[in-house]
Amino acid sequence: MKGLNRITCAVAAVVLGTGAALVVDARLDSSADREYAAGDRVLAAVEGLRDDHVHVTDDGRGMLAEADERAIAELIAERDLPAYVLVWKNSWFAGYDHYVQSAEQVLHQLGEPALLVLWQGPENSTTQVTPGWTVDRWTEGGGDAEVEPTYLGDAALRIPEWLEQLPEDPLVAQDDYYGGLGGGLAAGAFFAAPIVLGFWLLLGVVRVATSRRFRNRPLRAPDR
Amino acid sequence: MSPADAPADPPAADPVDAFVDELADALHEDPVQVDPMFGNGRTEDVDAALTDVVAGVDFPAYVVLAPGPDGLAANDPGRDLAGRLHERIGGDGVYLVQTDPASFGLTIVSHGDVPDAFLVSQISVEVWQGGGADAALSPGGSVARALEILDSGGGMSEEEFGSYAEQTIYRDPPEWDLDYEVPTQGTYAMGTALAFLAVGGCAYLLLRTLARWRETAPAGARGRPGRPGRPGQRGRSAATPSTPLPGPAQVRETAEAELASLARLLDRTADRRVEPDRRQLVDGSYDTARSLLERTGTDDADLDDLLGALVLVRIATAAAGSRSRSKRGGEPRAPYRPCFFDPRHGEGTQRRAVPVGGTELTVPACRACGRATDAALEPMGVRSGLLGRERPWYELDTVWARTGYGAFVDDLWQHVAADLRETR
Repeated sequence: MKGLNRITCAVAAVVLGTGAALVVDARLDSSADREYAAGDRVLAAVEGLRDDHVHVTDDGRGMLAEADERAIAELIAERDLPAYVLVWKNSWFAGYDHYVQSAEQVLHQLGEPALLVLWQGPENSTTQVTPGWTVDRWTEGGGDAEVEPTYLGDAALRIPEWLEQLPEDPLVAQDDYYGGLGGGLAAGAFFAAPIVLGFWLLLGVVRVATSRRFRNRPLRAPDR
Repeated sequence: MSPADAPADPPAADPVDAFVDELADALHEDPVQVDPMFGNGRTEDVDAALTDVVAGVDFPAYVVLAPGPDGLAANDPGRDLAGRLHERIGGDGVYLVQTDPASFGLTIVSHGDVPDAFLVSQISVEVWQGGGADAALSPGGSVARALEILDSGGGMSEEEFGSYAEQTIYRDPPEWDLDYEVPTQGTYAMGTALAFLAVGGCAYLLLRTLARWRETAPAGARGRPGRPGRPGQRGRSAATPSTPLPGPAQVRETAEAELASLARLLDRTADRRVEPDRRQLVDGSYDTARSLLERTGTDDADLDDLLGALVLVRIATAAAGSRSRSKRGGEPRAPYRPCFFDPRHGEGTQRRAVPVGGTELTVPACRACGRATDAALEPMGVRSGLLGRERPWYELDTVWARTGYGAFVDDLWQHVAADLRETR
């Protein structure tokens, strides 16, 4: 250990710290993929949504006819809305724990800021937005935009009505909890400080317990 | 052509019958039909696994995990569908049907010479008396387990019964984490900065501590903390002066100089009448010291022998000199004994106890070592062995360790001379 001078220690610490940062970065990268790992039903729906933003499965056809599906798709295309409509029957056994989770999986797989209406009938429908985004409730007419359609009724009527009342750019980015890059870096330093301080105290206690000074300094020469 | 003139449309087929006909045809081709609504996110895998199970049982079995059409019996659509399918397929067979994707309830119906479907519910109640036999198990798993129960005639251990919920393709998906938040740019910045600073900072502190571990140790603990009698850095003991102690070359130089002085002293006092014992001590020590110096170099490993020569010279000088008798009485002065902890400290004018094994020995010590605490004592280290590891001189298998450089014997020279003869 004698060859470990300050510079060597600093270089080694930077290497270890960089390695830890890369591990955390990779874990964060993969966390959404793990959380939103989708099964075949969701993946098939995503493929169907990519074409025209509307997908109706065979089991959901009774809730939205083909002609109505085309009309909704045309409306979305006409207004160039980041909205998607998925119509299917609720299932407990399709590879997700809850139907809202299936909507989140769809949004994650779409990979772009989007607004998804998951229509499963009056009891189990939902509208979800890509994490980090929210629906802009402010309309040009001064009224509040509805963030989701009412699910009690005919999807062929309710969904177009709701799409029409959305503002031109219905999605707005939410504020970053940590305030973006600078805030995140500051928060990281803030959280790291007590950890390093605590470790320094622990090392000091170990040094004292082994008859050394609390600080990492040689013992003072005794008065002789 | 007016609507009134148009030919009447043929009567529409019953959609339920049409569905059942189509499904029966499909079951003829493949006895396992799994819709993605029941596929646990991996429909093909579940279908393939159930196909293997169906192929392995000793009776015809048909599996339908798919939504049924409107129009089936509302109170038990699965049993209704199973009956309709049997009407079309005929023969013996066990039908395992689930049509509702939002409720638990696999319907098992036996037709003909096949195991009784009751066996499944019977064992489910026996093994899982509290209910919940299908907990964490997808419909595909329930079907696979039911077929194995029927095939075995109703026998299945509790362990095997529960094992189906542990298989990936049959196990329910992980619980939805409501608290999960997708990482933002700020999350990435916070996480990576935290990891970098915390790990890097702690690593730096730890490495610096390790790098200075010996340097920051108390003098007596640099070898092994808390134990007296370990070698340390020369000249830095709290019990010894801060000036560096002499190395082998310097010790040799000193020994040779003092040997020359002794020779001159012996020349000057050659005519003096001396007791035979004293003469023997002087001459024996003198000659043994000369032999040692002739046979020793100036390597680190020679340090203990060189010091032995120096001690012998000083023993002889003390015995031959004018101070050979105490001024207060006529008793012969005690032989010169060096500081036990490091002969380079000089004469051991003090006495102090040191722990050796389970007992204590009283040894001569210089003034500093006589006052020092046990932890502050720093015995002389001598390099030995193939790796040249430094060890306390008294831990080595040498004549010096056996005699304590005269601490334990009055006739040091005889022990050393005998040792020299043995190794010559």
